[in-house]
Amino acid sequence: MFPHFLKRKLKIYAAYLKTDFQAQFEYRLDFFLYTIAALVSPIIGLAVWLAASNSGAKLLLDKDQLITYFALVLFVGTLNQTWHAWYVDEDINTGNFSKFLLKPFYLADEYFIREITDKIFKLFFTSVLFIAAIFIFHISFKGVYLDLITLTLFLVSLVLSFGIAFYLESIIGITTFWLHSIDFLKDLESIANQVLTGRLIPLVFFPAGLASFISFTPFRYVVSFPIEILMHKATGSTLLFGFTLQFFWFIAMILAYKYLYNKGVVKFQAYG
Amino acid sequence: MVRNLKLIFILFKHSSKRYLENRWSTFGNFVSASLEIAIFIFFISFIFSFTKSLNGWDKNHVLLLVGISQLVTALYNFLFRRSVNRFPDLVRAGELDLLLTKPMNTQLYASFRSTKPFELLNTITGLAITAYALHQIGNSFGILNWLLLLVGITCGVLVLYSICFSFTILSFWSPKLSSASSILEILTTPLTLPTDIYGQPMSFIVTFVIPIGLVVTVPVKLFLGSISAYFILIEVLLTLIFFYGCTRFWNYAVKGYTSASS
Repeated sequence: MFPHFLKRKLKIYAAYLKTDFQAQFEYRLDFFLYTIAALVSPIIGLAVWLAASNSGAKLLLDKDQLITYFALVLFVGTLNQTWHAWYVDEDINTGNFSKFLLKPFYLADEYFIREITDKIFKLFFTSVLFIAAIFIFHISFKGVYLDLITLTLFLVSLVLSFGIAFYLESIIGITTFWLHSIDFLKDLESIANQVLTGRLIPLVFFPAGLASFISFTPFRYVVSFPIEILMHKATGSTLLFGFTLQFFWFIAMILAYKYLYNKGVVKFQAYG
Repeated sequence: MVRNLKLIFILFKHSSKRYLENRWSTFGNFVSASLEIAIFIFFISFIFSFTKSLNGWDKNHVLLLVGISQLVTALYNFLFRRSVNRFPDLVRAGELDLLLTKPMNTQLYASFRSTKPFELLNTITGLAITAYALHQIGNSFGILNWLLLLVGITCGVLVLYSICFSFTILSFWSPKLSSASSILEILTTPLTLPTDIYGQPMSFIVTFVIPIGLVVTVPVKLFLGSISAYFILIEVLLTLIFFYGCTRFWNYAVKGYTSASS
């Protein structure tokens, strides 16, 4: 029923998935800390905006909406968090990357599988935190729409947002072929992730001109856009425009990754 | 003592030479750190375009806190960051075995072996923001305030080191530990804001239990005179407790260490 190459690939995927599942259990502390690190920004964002609201600031979102918004940032942001650029950097710098030149398995495949196991663990962990947050902050989900169409659009957008985050991280990782150290690019990505994705500042708070500029960058589509769909802040033509750009960035990231990967492999020199 | 200082000086010299080999990366790190702080200042200014104060802190006081936090973080990054983050590599590669046999303080070596001399450039941005904030605040501060700030910053760097190094010691039991940089991120991201914005009881917890408040907020409050100068004694005492705990934990870990290769 399946073509032979697909069957073979799925078999390899299953084997890697099994190994990676075991590795996740082995390095629980790393997983736990990386996930906690992803929670810091939304918690700070919420604390700051609540403090501003308590000090009399006139904001476009009231307290309940702020809590709901940052609870959703916590959920979406944690599920979208990727950090494999560091491992790609290590693979290339130590020469470990050579294995991808010999095996019928590509760099992105391995890290994609790692992400799948990671997301399974994270879904569980984040759900527990999310439920705890609902009880602690008495989240009313004011302004959140949970009808079937909204949920479907949200899920599609969530998958695309993960795709953008994953390939962006992969692109940063493979720049090691040329730069040898990705510290600088990771720092820049981290800055953009804090400010332009909506993790610290809800994008609706920005002045119209700046918000419009951000809507053309890929960062809006990593965290803010899926939440905007759930909160019906993106509807009608805004929704269509958002999906078009989100899909555009998803494809653009894949093409850029493939182009850079092919160029980088030619440049790669292994130790020994 | 002299012997230890000599060791630190030699390690510092080696790190400087290594860094000069990779000037592009050094420049890149400086640019990204400056950008990061510029974005954070934008964030602060943006928040204060909606309100005049955040739980009692006005914009200039928060800017002063940002400047001091940049200073503390740059000092920590300069002295310890790379060594602490990469300590698990020593355990994993079995290099620690050799170091433990040498006639030197191994904790000292492990903590200073890769200083980042050019991280000192980032203290310039910290000092510039601090100077700007002080200019805006307009008050003149006495010698006691400056002294309290200096002691507070020293304690802040030591507290940060004690927590991060204690965490990285866990690699004795889990050699593949790679999230050392995450613990620094978890600790330093909230530093740039006053702990008072979290309200009670969180503010108390992040000052005394997870003592990130001791790193920046308390020194700044001491400097501004918002809390009694005697609070410096509590700060010094807590710093010593954390530092002592870290050293004890190191000794305990080394005692039970059976080599990664055995």
